[in-house]
Amino acid sequence: MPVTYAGDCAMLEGQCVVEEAAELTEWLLADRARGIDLAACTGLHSALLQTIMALTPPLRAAPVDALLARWLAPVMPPVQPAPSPRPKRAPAAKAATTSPRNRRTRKATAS
Amino acid sequence: MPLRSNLPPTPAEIAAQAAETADLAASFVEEARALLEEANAALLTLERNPGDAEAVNALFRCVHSIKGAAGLFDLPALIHLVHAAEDLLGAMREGRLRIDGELADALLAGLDRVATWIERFRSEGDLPAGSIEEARKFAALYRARLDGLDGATQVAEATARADAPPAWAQGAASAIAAAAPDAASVVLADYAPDEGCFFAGEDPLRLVLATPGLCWLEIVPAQDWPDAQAFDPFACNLRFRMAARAPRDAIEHHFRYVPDNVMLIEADVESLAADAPKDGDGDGGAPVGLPTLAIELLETQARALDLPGRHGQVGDIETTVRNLCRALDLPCPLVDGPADADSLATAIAHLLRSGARKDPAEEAAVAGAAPMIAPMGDGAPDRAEATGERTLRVEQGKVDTLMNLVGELTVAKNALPFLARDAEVRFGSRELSREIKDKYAVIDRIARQLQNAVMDIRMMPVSDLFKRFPRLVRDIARKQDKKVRLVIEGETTEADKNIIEALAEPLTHVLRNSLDHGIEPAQARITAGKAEIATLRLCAFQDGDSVVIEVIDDGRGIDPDKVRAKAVERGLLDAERAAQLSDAQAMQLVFLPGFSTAEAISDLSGRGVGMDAVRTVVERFGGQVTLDSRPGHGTTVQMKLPLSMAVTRVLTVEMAGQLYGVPMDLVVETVRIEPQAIRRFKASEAVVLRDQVVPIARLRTMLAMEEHRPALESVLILRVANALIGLVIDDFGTGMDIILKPFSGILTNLSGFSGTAVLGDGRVLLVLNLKEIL
Amino acid sequence: MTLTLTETAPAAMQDNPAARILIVDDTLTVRLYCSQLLKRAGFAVSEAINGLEGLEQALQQRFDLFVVDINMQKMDGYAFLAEVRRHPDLRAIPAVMMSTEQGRDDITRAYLSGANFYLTKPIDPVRFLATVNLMTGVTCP
Repeated sequence: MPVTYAGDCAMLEGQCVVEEAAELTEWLLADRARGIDLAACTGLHSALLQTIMALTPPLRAAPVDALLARWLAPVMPPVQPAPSPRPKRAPAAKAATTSPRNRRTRKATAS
Repeated sequence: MPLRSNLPPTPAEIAAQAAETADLAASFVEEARALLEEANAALLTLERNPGDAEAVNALFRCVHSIKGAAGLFDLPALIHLVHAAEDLLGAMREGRLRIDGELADALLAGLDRVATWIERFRSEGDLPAGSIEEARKFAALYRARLDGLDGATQVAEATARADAPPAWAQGAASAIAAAAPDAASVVLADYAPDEGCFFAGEDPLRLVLATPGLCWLEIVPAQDWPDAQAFDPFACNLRFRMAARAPRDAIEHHFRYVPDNVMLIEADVESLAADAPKDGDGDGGAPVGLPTLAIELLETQARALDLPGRHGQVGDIETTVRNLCRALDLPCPLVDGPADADSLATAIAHLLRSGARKDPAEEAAVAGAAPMIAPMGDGAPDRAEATGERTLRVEQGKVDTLMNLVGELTVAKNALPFLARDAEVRFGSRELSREIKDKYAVIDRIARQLQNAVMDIRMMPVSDLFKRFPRLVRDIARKQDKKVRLVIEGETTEADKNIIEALAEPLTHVLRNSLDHGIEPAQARITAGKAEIATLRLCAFQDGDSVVIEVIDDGRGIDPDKVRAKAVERGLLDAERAAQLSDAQAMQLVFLPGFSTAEAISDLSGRGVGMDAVRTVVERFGGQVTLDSRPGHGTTVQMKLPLSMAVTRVLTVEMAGQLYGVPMDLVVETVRIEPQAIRRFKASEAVVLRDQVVPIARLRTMLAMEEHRPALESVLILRVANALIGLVIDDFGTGMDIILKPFSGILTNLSGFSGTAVLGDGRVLLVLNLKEIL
Repeated sequence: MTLTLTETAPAAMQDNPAARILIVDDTLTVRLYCSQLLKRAGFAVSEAINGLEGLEQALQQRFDLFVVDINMQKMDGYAFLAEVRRHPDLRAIPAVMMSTEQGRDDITRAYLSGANFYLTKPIDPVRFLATVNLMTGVTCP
């Protein structure tokens, strides 16, 4: 499944399909501090997009995928890196690769 | 032909697929035509009787079917229009809306538009430019009625709004200009997906991100986000506003399956921004593979299992799950034997957890959907023969070919009697001659049966012709403010297709005449003491070998004096002769060429428009037209045509060694009389036959041949235009079936003959047009 | 312009079809299209123009899948499926419902009547065939 729930962060990876939306919604509603990580997401179904827009969970990482990054940035919740080191993933390494690209694409749409 | 198909074509199958596609398009055109006609008829019924639930249902079903079939082709405008019409009809079906004249006009106009598009699709394979705008106008008109608003202003508003950039775009003007710095204009699109669109398998975001030339995008909630607890992730609440640098039709094409949800406006980019961001490549839609479908299918089964009404009925769900496992080559978590709801739920959950992740190669293989003929495992269904009445659609050309072949067979067959005669006379073999005659009888019988069978194929009910008239009558009556009830009788009467088709125009003429000149305005009828609503009858019935079509109105009838006066004025005959004519004869003057002119239409209180044209057409097909009228009470026009026209039976007639044919249906009897029995009155001749004086005409004289005085005169007694006439000929021949070929080219206007036929022995037979020469 | 002939003839049956499908739809063009797609893919196809005819055929021969339209005269798709699910010999045969309706209520009603899947028209041939393959257990090489 393209969505993995690890601790307080849901990681959306690859092509995320409509079927994930119900579970993600429930999971996010159970604890509003839970966040999402879109770094490895390459496709987001509208249902998931609106879940993120409606519930505005903290964004641990914005999508790296150029298309998603470019067009979804304006509607994404603000990026809030995890308060504590997240399990299973090395946040520093990820952040190092993703953030410059994020900044660049974000700038392109904002200008 | 833009069939909506993205199957990867196997090279060997491309030709076959192209043929299938053409078949499909042809089938669609024909079916749509039929549905449109049915819809038209239902609409007219409905207008007469607004409470007719069956008519509403029929209308709805027709429009719905057109929509369903059109979806197979790339016809967004057509679908958009019928979709809006369907919504309107849906409201009528639910009793929320009632039909009125204006609404009927709007729907009829929409159906007409669809009909022209269908014809365009048939000939060009696409719809004309601007069709989507036109569809929108109709849709707006229909929606307006649905909203209880005034249609006309709504359309005007919609059009006005369409020209100006929407408010959201004006607000974002500088951002859009910055996103499209070197473009003169951009296409602005506002896309509001349906709330339930996810259930239809749509993913609006994916569609939006794949928009060609997308350069600016704003995603907003359609309505404010509800409370987090009330949020439903499956109810789409997104709205997309975008600007794209691509031709408008490209954007239109991109959103062609959701035309209802997208507003497109082309707008100038006035101000150009300084720093230009790079273009978006706008190419992001990743194909969704089959496992998604498998997941969807499994999820659906889980959902179905949960539906309260479905508990206890799980056999189909079990079959689906087992089949799905077999298709994907997954071990089925279900044990053998019937499963219950719980074990199914467990199995589905298990499959969703474990089996859902397939490697992409396998996904692609399954998604490619090229199934093989799989050997059926246990429980293979029994072989069963499906039988039933089936309909075969055949191009008319093929039937015509068959008809021509039958004709040739008939002609070839007719050579046998000549052969028999030769056998006897030239070769002296009476026995062989008899043998040939016997065989001839057999072949003759088979040929006749074959001919009848082919004729049967060509027969069609006059209803195919009549069904267009309710609309015509309604439109004309409405325009002239007359009240008319059209009564159609004998619709199931059949006749040859060519005859039916040929009758369309004359019949239209006659009906128009009745409406224009025969039927009075309602007020005049009341004053005259007649029923306010006029009755126009259109009847068909079979009379022997003929089909008779009558148009009867109860209008003001024809005033014979006015006809006389008009005929004299037109110089068709002199006043003295006109005065001698009986009233009934005078009325027939309307059939004379030159009687009716445009001017005559307006002031003549009867009919006359193109009656000469009507007669010409009817007679060309071997028919006749008569008119009967009672001033003040109405007029009847009767057209009588042969049921079929392919084979004509003639009596051959010999004249100076040359054969001529006389249509058998005119021949009353053949007599041989002594020359002195023919009496001469001044310039004309006559014979008294069974106490009746029959005028005599000599064919030799008519054909400008030298006179011939045999010991006994052969006389054909013919009935032409309800009068008997005797035609003196050299000798009678035999009865014969011929395929009459009308003259073509420079001979078309050769008078006196209706055509030629080739005989079995190769000679050419000229068929006389006696109505013309006598 | 074409003429229509009516004949009585056995439906073309392949010797070894992948599965037998019954298409119940009142629109000729849709039937023709689906049946072309399915036949080309190796399925045996029968057609019915409404639920009543569909039921008659379903009782006369065995099918592996029903492909059913909603709006039809005489007996619509919902009623057809309800009948199918009531009948002991037919109830285990899966059914796909196909319609232009996209409302949630229509879809829910389809599943309530006994559909196993719902496809919206216009028919996407890839999705349609893939669905039929999955639902009839036809494997790919």
